[in-house]
Amino acid sequence: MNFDRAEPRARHTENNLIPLINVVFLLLIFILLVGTLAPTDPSKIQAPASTATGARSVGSIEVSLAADGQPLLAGQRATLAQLKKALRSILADQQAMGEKTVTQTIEIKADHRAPASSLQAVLTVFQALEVLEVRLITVDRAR
Amino acid sequence: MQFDRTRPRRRSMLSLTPLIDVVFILLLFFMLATTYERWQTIRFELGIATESAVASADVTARVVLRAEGISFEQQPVSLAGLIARLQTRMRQTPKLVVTIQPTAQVSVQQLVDLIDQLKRAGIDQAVLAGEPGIKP
Repeated sequence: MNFDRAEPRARHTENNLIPLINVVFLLLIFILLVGTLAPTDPSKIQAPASTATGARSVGSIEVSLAADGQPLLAGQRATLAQLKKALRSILADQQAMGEKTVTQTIEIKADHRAPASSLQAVLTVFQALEVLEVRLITVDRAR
Repeated sequence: MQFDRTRPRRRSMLSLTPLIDVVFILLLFFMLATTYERWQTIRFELGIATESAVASADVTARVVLRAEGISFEQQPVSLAGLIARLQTRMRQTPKLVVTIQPTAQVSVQQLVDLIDQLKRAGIDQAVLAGEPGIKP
């Protein structure tokens, strides 16, 4: 009697797994190509939808605006005065480092429910700091 | 010539199971860590660039955005009507600057919607006007 049938069965099982591995690899490649790895936003801000086509600028300062209209800098809630002070020191530091081309862009990530008046208030702070370029971050309306 | 073919061919002992484990873990990691949101930006014109223009009433068009509708030149107007009137003004004054003044109840999304519609109609020169007194 021959009971030693373990090896052929194991080989047979592994051969059956090859299509599964192929599919999983394809999924992995798809996710790698389509998605982008980015740190998750702890502030849970939902940006407004738009049909704008402007790209995000690299190295810009990001200021968030919560749904209640409160400004956030680096995830921390701040008053307009605190925001102004913090931005002034960031801009001064960057100018000291000679990054003049990058410094003057600020991106606002505002929640779509935030009152527009709070956006205006933040813009007046940027205006006082003589920021050259301000961009509002939006998501693609089609999605 | 005679080759030594008596030695049996060694069967590959590599198991596929650890490979599958690793690939599944990679797949899970990327599925959880990946974001599919496509960020875009709208460039905002600060009032600072247009203060001289704002001073002159004939090159500016002031639009008041309320939660219940739009007002243009102190009159309620539909979006299509606003665009038509602004386009007429732009033919007369190509450097026309549209000043949008949202009221307190208007959300950022409503403002973005209006800017979107204006840009789609070819009205790019839109600035956000501040409420009187909020200028630092």
